[in-house]
Amino acid sequence: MISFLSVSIIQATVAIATPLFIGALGGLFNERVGIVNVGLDGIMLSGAFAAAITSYYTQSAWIGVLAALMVGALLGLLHAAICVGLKADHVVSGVAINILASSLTVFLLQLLFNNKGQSPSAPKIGQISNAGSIPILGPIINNMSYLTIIGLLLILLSHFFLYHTKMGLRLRSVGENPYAAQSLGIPVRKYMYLSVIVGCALAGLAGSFLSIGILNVFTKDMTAGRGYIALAAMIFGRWTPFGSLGASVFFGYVLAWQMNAQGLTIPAQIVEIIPYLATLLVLAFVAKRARGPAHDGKTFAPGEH
Amino acid sequence: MNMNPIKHFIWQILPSILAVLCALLIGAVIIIAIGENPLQAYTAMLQGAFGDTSSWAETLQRATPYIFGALAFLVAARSGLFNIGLEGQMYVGAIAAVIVGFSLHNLPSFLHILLALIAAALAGYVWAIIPALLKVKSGVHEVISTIMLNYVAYALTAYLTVHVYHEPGAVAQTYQVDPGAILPALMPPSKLNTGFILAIILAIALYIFLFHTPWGYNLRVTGLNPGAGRYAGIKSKRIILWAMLLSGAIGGLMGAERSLGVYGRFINSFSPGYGFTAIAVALLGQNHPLGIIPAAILFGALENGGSFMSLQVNVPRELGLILEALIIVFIAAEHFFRVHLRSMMKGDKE
Amino acid sequence: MVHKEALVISGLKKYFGHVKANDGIDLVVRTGTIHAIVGENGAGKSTLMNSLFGLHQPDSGEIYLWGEKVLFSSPLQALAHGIGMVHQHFMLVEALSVLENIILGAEPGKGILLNYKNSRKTVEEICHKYGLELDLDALVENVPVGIQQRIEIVKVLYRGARLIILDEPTAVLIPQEIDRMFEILREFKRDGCTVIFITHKLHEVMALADDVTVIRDGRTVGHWPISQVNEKILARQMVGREVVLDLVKEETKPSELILQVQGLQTEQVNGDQSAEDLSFNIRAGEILGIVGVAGNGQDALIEGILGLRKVEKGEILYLGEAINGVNTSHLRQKGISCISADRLKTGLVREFSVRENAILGYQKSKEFVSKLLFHKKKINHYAQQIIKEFQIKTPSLDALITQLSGGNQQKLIIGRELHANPKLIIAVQPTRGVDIGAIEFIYQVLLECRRKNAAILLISNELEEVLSLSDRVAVLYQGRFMGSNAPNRLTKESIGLMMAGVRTEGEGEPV
Repeated sequence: MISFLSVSIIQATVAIATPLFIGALGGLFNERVGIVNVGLDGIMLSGAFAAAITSYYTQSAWIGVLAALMVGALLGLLHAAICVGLKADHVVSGVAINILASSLTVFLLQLLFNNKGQSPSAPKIGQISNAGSIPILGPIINNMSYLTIIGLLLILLSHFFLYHTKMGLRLRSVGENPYAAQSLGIPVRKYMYLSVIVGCALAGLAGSFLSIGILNVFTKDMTAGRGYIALAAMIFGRWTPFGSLGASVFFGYVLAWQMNAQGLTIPAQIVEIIPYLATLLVLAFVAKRARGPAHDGKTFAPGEH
Repeated sequence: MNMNPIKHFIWQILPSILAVLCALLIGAVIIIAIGENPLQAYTAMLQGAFGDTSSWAETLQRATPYIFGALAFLVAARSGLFNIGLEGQMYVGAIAAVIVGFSLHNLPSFLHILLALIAAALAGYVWAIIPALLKVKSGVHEVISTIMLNYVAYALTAYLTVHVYHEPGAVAQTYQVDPGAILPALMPPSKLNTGFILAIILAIALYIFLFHTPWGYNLRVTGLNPGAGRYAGIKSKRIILWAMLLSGAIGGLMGAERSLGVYGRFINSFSPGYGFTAIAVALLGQNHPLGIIPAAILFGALENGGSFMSLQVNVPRELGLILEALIIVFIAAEHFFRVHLRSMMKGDKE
Repeated sequence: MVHKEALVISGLKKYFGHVKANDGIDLVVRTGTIHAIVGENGAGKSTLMNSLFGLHQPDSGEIYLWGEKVLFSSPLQALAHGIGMVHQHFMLVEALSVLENIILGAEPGKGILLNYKNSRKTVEEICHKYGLELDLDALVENVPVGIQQRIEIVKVLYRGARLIILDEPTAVLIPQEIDRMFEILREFKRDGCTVIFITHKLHEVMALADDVTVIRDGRTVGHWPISQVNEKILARQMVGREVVLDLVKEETKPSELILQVQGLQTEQVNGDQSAEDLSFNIRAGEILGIVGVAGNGQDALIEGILGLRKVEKGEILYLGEAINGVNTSHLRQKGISCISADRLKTGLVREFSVRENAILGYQKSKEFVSKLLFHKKKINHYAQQIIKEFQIKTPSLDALITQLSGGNQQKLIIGRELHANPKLIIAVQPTRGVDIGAIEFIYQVLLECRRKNAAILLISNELEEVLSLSDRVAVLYQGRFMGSNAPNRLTKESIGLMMAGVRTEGEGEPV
């Protein structure tokens, strides 16, 4: 009997969706100031690595999470410096970050643990326990990672920030028309740097969930393209926090359902492509409405435009 | 600024050389940080890459997919597209070549290889049609669509390997191809094969096409200023479509060279990221069909030499990959440097 | 007490590399006056204003605002000191509403939250006071250009600017709208505001300004109360020599029909104005001038003829042959050439050399290609020839096109488009952004083509240019002709009315 909705599917959906929507939120803070970041996957990988080894050495998962945030922020600084400071191509920078992350993590694994495959096991982030007795919600939030809760709060907070605060309006204007923003005295570069750094720190956070949220180790190239699915979720969600959350939950559900439907005639590989195909279809048929910030991916070069 | 050709040439390649030097410098810092001697490490690397004919062969073998990949990337890039989907085009090309390779028998080797290569090119071409059409018809940015298609290609080839053409073994793999479909090795036991020659010929052909024919001119105009191209009667949509398809076809050939020339079959997720590293090679080679050849050989050397180095000194071979990533970072910086030096030389206009 | 001088600038210099964009600017603007700054393209007006507005810092020199010495490191400080600027290229965020654009960066209230209610009231009051009507909830991307400028002005007022700088504000307006804008600027003056008005249109200076400062080659040439100068003096000061803009336009007898356009209707493209039932003829040896506010179908007309935009209805006959939808490159071979509107957007490739740009549009022509490959010698020879003939100053054929001045770039385009002796020349804004020397040269070249019996379709936003060059003038409004006549039978007022969409009696003769 194939079940479309069961406690285990819901729990798996949440677990798969969490790094996606936190990562998508990270991508959103990049793109809302006009910086495309295809290095999201590499940043998540670095975050996963930093979280695992810090958690291993300090024996504290939360310090691991902090390390993931910091490594993400650092890579964000690099990305912003290349794209904003040096006015280089955003995609090039992202590709460099991805290659850097996948080679550097293996390099360090080898140096630190003499093992190219994975890190030693480390303490993982806590989960809600004993919530099973709460009616309806209980079975769903039981075993939910604290990081999922934090992620959901971040979605709410980001929505409020973007649409109900002055800084949010200014931030959005930077991604739409930085020249106009600059002419009104908005410190465009500062917004770009800060937003990219925050966004990449969030990507690092998403990575920490992979290594010490679901599992308790870091394994080589463990993101397996989740950074790209997060990017897809952001686009699917039309560059909004709630949209990104919705898309991530949808993708998460599809993958969770597939995992729970073992023995089914549909091969796993076919289900895995659903998020990618869904994004392609959305782009193909609602491209005009699924429009990103107007200055997305372009170089801000006052005086030359 | 009136420069003679030699000065012009040096000016052109200077940023690439500086980027490599800067990356090596940071690499040296990393080596020192882990308590090894950078000079020793780099000497070992150099020796491993170019020490004798067999190391040369291995270096060129590793450079071959980068030549194909960088050519594929630059054809699209010169028309204004960022083809980040080489990985996917490579996978479908590799498996298409293999399917032709093991499905047909008793053909003359030349014909069999030709058919397999055509199949690979067609597969890459088909894989590029989707982003190209999405770009031209709906204005969907190719970066996103090609990334999505990379994963579709991973999954598709994995499905075919595991469920359809599966041959038991240590790794997920397909049947072996007919011996006649194997690209002949140039310097056995090295896996360097005739695919390398094909790549070089392709590079020269693309150079002539881009810089000495009106069609190449049209392609470059489209990439640089489609608005001006439009008024000059250049149909940018058509050019973009063709450039992307050509790019995809070359991407398919990149896969065929690996599967027909190196593995003799399709191995699931065989690529360590050839399609992405090829972008770095293209940038280091300044998106010039001849410039990417030394760039690809350098990358081949970093990887080949890196393996040898890790046996000689206690530095993981991934250093070679880190150097590759650093080179791209500095290429970005060098672009900035060049723009500024130029504007200082000529003076900014108001 | 308010300081007598709103703005004093002395000895301001700003270099970009070796280029002296500003090389000694002096400026004194009296409080409560309208002060015009005039100068040719590239004279350094924009650089000066960017220094003043804090977009970049001058290398030397001093700026005093109401007696206080200032140096702004960002526009924020300039705004805080009461400077407001209406940029030539509008600074609007298209995806945001009109209201959001107005308050952006100066949102009301102390907290971190947005409060639209308060701001709406303030903005509505300002609009009401100056009679500037705006739909505050519309998205800017859906608002026409004339209204967008209104938003820019309200933005400045909302910030309480007391010194308002307008950079070439009349370029997108019809004569009547220009009059209306002048009224508003005079009202600012009555309210005690100071206005700096940057332009290259001398009659506007005479009509509006109290004082005028002339800038040439990055230096202040002089400043005068308006009563002491006239257009002729200003022109001489601007260019540095006597300007003879009286063109020798010989009488020609328009002969054979070159182009007949009947009922041209083009496809609608991205909200751009389409051509709506346009009909006109051009004969050999005549110049048909077309005026209209930008965005009233000029692009559709040009691109319809050139085969760049789909023609839905109507017929285009060139030498009696239908050319609907024929590719541009074929048309060029048949003798139709086009000097397009924006040279860096549609006429040249920045990253290309002079040589490569010299064949753009003719890259497949037989004279440059043999056996599938470019014939380098022939291309060089041809490029040398147009450089010589059109007096193009360039370091070499290999120099990047951006190393040339705007005037020389434009001459290269014109040389390229005229080298094959075209029978029909479509000249769009042929003198945009070039210095007076180049303008004179280009006018001579166009009149020479007319004398040599070419038919010329001249499309320009410069009313003066069209009136002085054309044999007939037609006015375009929302894709239709509002009327046409010989230039000497048209007045600025009647043209203005037609540009605003009013058909005037007696102007209805066929184009």
